[in-house]
Amino acid sequence: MSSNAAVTLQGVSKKYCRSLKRSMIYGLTDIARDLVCFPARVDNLRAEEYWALRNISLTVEPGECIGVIGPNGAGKSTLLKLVGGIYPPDTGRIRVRPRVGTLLEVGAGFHPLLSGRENIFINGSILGLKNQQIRKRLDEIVAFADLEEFIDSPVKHYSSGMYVRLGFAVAAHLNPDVFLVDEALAVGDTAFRIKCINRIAEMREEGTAILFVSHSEMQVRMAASRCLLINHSKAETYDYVDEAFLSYQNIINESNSAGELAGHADYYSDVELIDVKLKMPYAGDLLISGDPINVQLRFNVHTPVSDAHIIMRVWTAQGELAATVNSRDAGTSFNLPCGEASINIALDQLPLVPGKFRFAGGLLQKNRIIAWSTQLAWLHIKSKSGQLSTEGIMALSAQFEMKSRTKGIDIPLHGNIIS
Amino acid sequence: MRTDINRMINPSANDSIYEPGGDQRPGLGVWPIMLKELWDTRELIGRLALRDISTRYRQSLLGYLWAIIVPLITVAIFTFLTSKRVLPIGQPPLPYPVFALWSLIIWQLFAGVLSSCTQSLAAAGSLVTKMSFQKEALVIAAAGQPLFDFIIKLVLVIVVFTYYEVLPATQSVYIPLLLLPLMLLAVGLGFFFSIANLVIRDVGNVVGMIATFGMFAAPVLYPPPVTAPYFLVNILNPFSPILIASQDLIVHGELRHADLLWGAVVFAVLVFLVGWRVFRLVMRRIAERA
Repeated sequence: MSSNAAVTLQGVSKKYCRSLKRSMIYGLTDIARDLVCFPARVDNLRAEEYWALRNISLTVEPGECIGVIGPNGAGKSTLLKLVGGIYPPDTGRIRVRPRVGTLLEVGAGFHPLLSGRENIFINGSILGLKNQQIRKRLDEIVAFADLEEFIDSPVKHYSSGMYVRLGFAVAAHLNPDVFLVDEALAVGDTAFRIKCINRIAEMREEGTAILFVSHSEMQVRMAASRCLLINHSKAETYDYVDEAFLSYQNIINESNSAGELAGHADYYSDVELIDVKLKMPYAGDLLISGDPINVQLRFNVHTPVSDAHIIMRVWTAQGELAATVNSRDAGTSFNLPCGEASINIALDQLPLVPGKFRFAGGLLQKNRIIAWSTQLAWLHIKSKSGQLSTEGIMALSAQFEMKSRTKGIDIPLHGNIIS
Repeated sequence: MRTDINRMINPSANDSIYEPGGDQRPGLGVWPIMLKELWDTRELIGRLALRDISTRYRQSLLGYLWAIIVPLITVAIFTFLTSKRVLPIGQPPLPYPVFALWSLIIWQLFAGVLSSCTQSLAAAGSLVTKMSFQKEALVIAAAGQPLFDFIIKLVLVIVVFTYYEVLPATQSVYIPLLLLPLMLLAVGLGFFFSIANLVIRDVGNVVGMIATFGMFAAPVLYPPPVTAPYFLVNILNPFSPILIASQDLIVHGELRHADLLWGAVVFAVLVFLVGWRVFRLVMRRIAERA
């Protein structure tokens, strides 16, 4: 472990108590033991206690931005509070550079009656800055927050957007060694969010280590160099943001598919779906992005159906609709006589990003559902070689070309500009 | 693109270290560190105190006059009650309004600091649970506003002393030195009460009651009793010796009960140090349950 890391966590755990009453009792006994320098035994859980974070180790170098991701209640905010020294750890050791800027809550520490300017000075002092240092950065902060007009009015008259802008501007311009951000950019307009992401990049160049909690995948992807995925009190670091999000998706899939198996909604009236077969170039439920796929549905038809059409939907693991195919759009409808019938849906390519996808679909007559399954199949898409991005839903391949105009002559250029 | 090279290569000796059991550096070596950290937060304490002072009367018409109105009315009522013999008290060494006003503003300084410090953490709200800094700055800074009120009240004191043609003894210039143990005692108690109040809000109410009725347990509105058992208020109330010392300095220009005063000073310093240390040890555990 390098000694000049900005943040070092070694085997850090934190436990919470479910019951308020017991929490108070435990708190008092722990305090009593602290006071007589005989700290409580921390490795075992007492009644109603649970681990909020268990055995976390992490090193953050100056200039790094760690994206902290994970489901709700996984312990992300607790981690930031431990690093900020607001809560004590129950096991392990945390070492942090002295000046820690926190943005755990928008406008934390703002006094409503004071003007924006006065609040900047107070927040700066909380961060351990001298008045002179704050004064030097004041104009920058005001300009960044875009509040020149309102900087001398009390912040209680600010809109929530202005609050966010001022909060971020102050925390991000006072040159902290470590910057802890918890969902602070969830509010605010797009232009400001982009400004913030750019500011985070600048802070990294200035040597600030950043822990960035966000549920916005795009923000983490743009801001973070590495990721810490926290799930069920355990954490894992990923050197590549893509990897982290793939694992995160798998976690979501697990919880989703568990839920879906329980509430697996199928509806059949005159027609019953008896089998789904996927035909793919390779065996298993694995498909390379961009490969063709055939979905074969076998039905048991109890009553003849005429003029039916088939719909199939592709969902991402997060429950976003990726695509829909509808036989009616292709001008195809089916007349199903009694007995068994099989319908084949051929997709000549499925250009999806790597990850898990779910097929849902069924038969409709006019707008009446005859048979429907929310879970025809799960599909695991693997990336094509050389294709790295897992952002978004579609995997596109692109060629890049640049043209530039010099001295009135069009020169088509490929690759590097040579002059 | 400005890379802070120093920050990159200097493994900092003043990194913060958080381990189970709070701020567990044992022994006496902890005091120089705590004092240095306190010194480092002086600008923050000043800012926070200024913030309280400037916001206190911002939404009010009479503003700073409020600091004067309350003691003025209290003293007027008690002057009336004693002059009509409703409250039979001994003969104070000064005209009653002068004596009562002086003692009252000393008491109000003590009670004001005590209750303001007690409320400081609860009033700070998300500052405590969402920001990272030495939280005792909040408690200490809370003493600023009552101290400021006290200074305003001194204007009233000068007016009343002049009106009754009372000239304080020259030794009164040492009174500011007496205010130091007074403040240490109030802030020290405030350390205990402020963290307790974060968890159990009743503490704030209890301290409020002490601030209101506690003055009857000290020679504020009556001269220091000399008969048993009443003279016990001069001894048992740790505030009394400091108050009596200030009265003695004004009237006699000397400390008539120096032994009592020194006892109170030692007690105040001890309360402050123990309170501060306990605050350090338990603050984080409390923040978690606030």
